[in-house]
Parts: sequence; structure tokens; C-alpha cells
Amino acid sequence: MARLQLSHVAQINSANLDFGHLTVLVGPQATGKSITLQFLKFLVDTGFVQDELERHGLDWGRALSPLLDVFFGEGMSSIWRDESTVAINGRSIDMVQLAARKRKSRPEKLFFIPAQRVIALRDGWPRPFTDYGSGDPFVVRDFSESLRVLVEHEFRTESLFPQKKRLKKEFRALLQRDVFADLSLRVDKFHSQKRLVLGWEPGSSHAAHTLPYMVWSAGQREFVPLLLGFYWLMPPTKVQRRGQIEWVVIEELEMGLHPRAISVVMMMVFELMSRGYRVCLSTHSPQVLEYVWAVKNLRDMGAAPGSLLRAFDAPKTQGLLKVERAVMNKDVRVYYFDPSRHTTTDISSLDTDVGSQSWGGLTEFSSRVNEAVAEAAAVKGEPGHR
Amino acid sequence: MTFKSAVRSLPVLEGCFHVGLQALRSSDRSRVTAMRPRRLRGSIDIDNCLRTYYANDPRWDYGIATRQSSTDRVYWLEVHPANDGEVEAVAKKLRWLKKWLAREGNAVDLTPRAFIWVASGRTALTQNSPKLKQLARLGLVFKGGHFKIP
Repeated sequence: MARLQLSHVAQINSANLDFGHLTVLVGPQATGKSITLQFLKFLVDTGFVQDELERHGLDWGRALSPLLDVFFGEGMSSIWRDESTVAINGRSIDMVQLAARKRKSRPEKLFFIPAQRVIALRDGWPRPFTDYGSGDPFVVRDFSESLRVLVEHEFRTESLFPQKKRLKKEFRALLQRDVFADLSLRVDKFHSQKRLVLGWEPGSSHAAHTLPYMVWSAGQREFVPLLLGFYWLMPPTKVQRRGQIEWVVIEELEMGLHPRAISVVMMMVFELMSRGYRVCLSTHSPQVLEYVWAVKNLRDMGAAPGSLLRAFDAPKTQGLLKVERAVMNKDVRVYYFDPSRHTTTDISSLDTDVGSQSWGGLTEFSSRVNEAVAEAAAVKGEPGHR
Repeated sequence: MTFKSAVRSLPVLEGCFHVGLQALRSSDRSRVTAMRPRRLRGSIDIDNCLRTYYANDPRWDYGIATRQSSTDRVYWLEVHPANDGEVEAVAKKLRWLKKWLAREGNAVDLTPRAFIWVASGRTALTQNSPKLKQLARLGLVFKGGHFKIP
């Protein structure tokens, strides 16, 4: 799929997205970004979604309305109306027929890391698909189930972080520095119940060796499911990608994270791109767009190798330079979900001119703050100069 | 005092007043749009007019006046490359302009006033840049590649 068009779906009048290797969606809350990304998941993985629903005992009766409720979540069938249309690469999709006919089984092609990822863990352990209600969104349940499979099958007694077989050593160092400090993430048992804990190595000066889930910081609770999602996408082998997965969606990757942690996560997104994944992000963080802006400008300027790594304060190692080189050749798109017109606008050029859209509204506050201070200073004069 | 009469009262600005935006060099003209052209009260090319007197100084570019209620408001406009490395150069120009307005050009220092920086060529500054915040404290607003006069 290269192009997705939605018309009169939920609050969206018209959304036209041409996907790049990296596609970033910005816009205020409730403008349709998440619904658009979930539609992408549904259309890329229709056969897989139907298989999973059936496998877990969910029956939509081959009708569209219950299928939308079970996929998007309870009450969400109302997003589809008589005038709603969806098209892939210009070809209109008959959604009623899609629900009525069982699609051929196919392996999952799109891995979706939802904004609600924090609820994927309960008491420090990933929740299985069936732990959720039938009215909970499919993408949350599916993500949670993937984490359960990952932790139960690939980390039986091992430490989860840091782990030599997982992630480039540069990323491990950056995560250690900017997210985990000197803590490690590992599987622990409490009254025979396995759970993920943060802890210090035995023999450290800390009195307690483990920190259970309930005492983790908000940022750690947000980051651990995200980290496990990256583990899922980066198998501990020479294989570049997991299974047949080609697409990755990460909603609001910045959630709960300090800007330094956001930097590391963006670098890891670039690693996904260098592995050949097509990545779609939604974000409310100007920092994410700053990095996209840096990529576009450094590429246009023919900047020297290492320039992008400098923007991340990352070391210029061979591994990271390779990631940088790969990203510089990728197509990057940015779309603004306009809340007034309920349409999408291609703002990929990321012009820094001050306008109503100003990077999808993400920098309008900075502009306004600058102008308010400048106006006051222009009247009264800077200290010592007037 | 109107902007026109203020300019004409200063001998160093003799012959510098132009109607509308005509003082702007053709290369800079496309970077400025007057949203209400009838309110324009004239413009001056300071850089050019004061070249003889301040040949080696970091001279400012333009002054543009518009009618705002009962007074003339002046937008002091600098067209300059926009990247982090040029921020200090623009700050120097602004300091020079303020000194000139305080001493010699006091007659044209009408209020309200605003100091505006428009990028010439590619913009390599984001609105989040801390350096733009430094300039804001000096009274300068960076408007990207184009300035719309309200």
C-alpha cells in the first residue's frame, strides 16, 4: 500500500495519505489520527485480524457494524456511515463485503504499538489477548498478546535489559544513560508468579534489589512496553525483520518520556527504517518533528556523515553511521490533521515560516511565546540598552 | 508626527522616504506582504541611506510604517540569512539600530514599534530554538521566510 484515502469516516471529512518510509501524523486530539492508523492496520492485515478474532472466540456475524465494534472498540461502529468510503492506491474498498467474506489467512504484516500500551502490563506481566473485554480495541489486545508471547517464549529466565543479544550496543548504552540509569529489567518470581521487575545487580549498594511494577515511575511504565515492542521487531538473530512484518505503527512514542529518552526512541525508529520497515508515527511532540526536519535539511545540504548523530548526541560508531546513512536515503512524509476543516494537509516540507499551521500546531506556542516577549521587549527595551 | 514627516525632519535620511514598500530592494520585496495596503505609510532603506555615514557598521535594513488607529506604527525589518550562526550577527544589527534610533534617529523612533527578522533564502532555524528566545528578549521576532504586515 502506498496511498490511503478516507472520506467521511468518523470526524474525518477527507484524509489523503501517501506513505513514505517514515510517515508522521500530527494534529490536535480527536482529529482522526488514531482511527486512520487503525484503518491502515485493518486493511493491511484483514486476513490476520479475522483469524485472530475467530481464534479468540469473537464472532462478528460477517456484518460490518459488529466487526468495527470488535476491531476499533465498543461503540466505534458509528465511525462508518452510509457516505463513508475508503480507498487503497485509488481503489475503493467495499467494507461491507470485506466483513462478509472471510479473507485468506495471512501472516501479520503490520505491528501496531498503541497509545494505550501502558495497560498491556498488569502487575508487571503482559496480559494475554483474552484478558481484555470484547469491547477493547483489537490493536491493544494484539499488542499485549505479542508482548506475552515474546516474554514467555524468548525470556524465560533471562534479563530483559540490558541484554547482549538485543539492540545495538550503542542503543543499550543510550538507554542505560537516558532511561534506566543503573537499573536493569528482568523476570522475577513472587509467590510463584512471574513478573517483570526493575532492579540493581546483586552486590550493589542498594538495600532492595528489585522494584516491582507498582513502584515504577510513570515513564518506566510507559517505556517498558515500548521497549518490548522494539524487541519484537528486532529479533536477536541476523534476521533484519520479524516474520512477514513490513509496517510498524507507533502511536505517541513520546508518551511519558523525558526528551532525552525521546531522542533514543527516535534513533531506534531510524534503526527500524534501516532494517526495511515502513514506520508510521503519530505524535504531539515538536521534538519528533525537529528530528524529521533535521533529516530533511541535512540531506538537502549534503551534510557530512555524523551530522544527524550529532543532533542526537549519539556516538559516531560504525553501527550508528550505517543507520544514519540508511535514513538519509528514505522518503519522509508529515501530515497535519486539520481540526477546523477535518482534512489532512501534507506538511512534509516542514517550512519554518510562521503560519497558522506551524508544524501542525506543534510550534505555534513557541512562536506565540517569542512574539509576546519580543513585543514587550520592543516597547520597554532590553535591560541596559534603552 | 507621521512617519513621512519624521523621516523628512532628519537630514541624514534626506531623499530616503518612499511610498508604500518601494524602499525595499526587489530581491526583498517578495518577502513582505501588506495585508492592508491602504494603511501603508511609507518605507525607508536604512542600510542604503546610512551607508556613507556608517560604512563599517552592522546597519539595519528597513523601516516600514503603517497606520494604526491615530498613530503610525513602524516595523523595523531585517532580511538576513536564518541559521543559528547568524543569530549573533542579527543581534548586533539590532543593537546598532536601537543605538541609532536613541541618538540620531530619535524622530523616526515612533511607537508602537516592532523589530522583525525575515529569512533570506533557506530557513534553518526552528521556532523552538533557544537562540530565537534570546532574540525575543531583545525585542526581535523571527518571521521565517515571509512577513505579512497586519
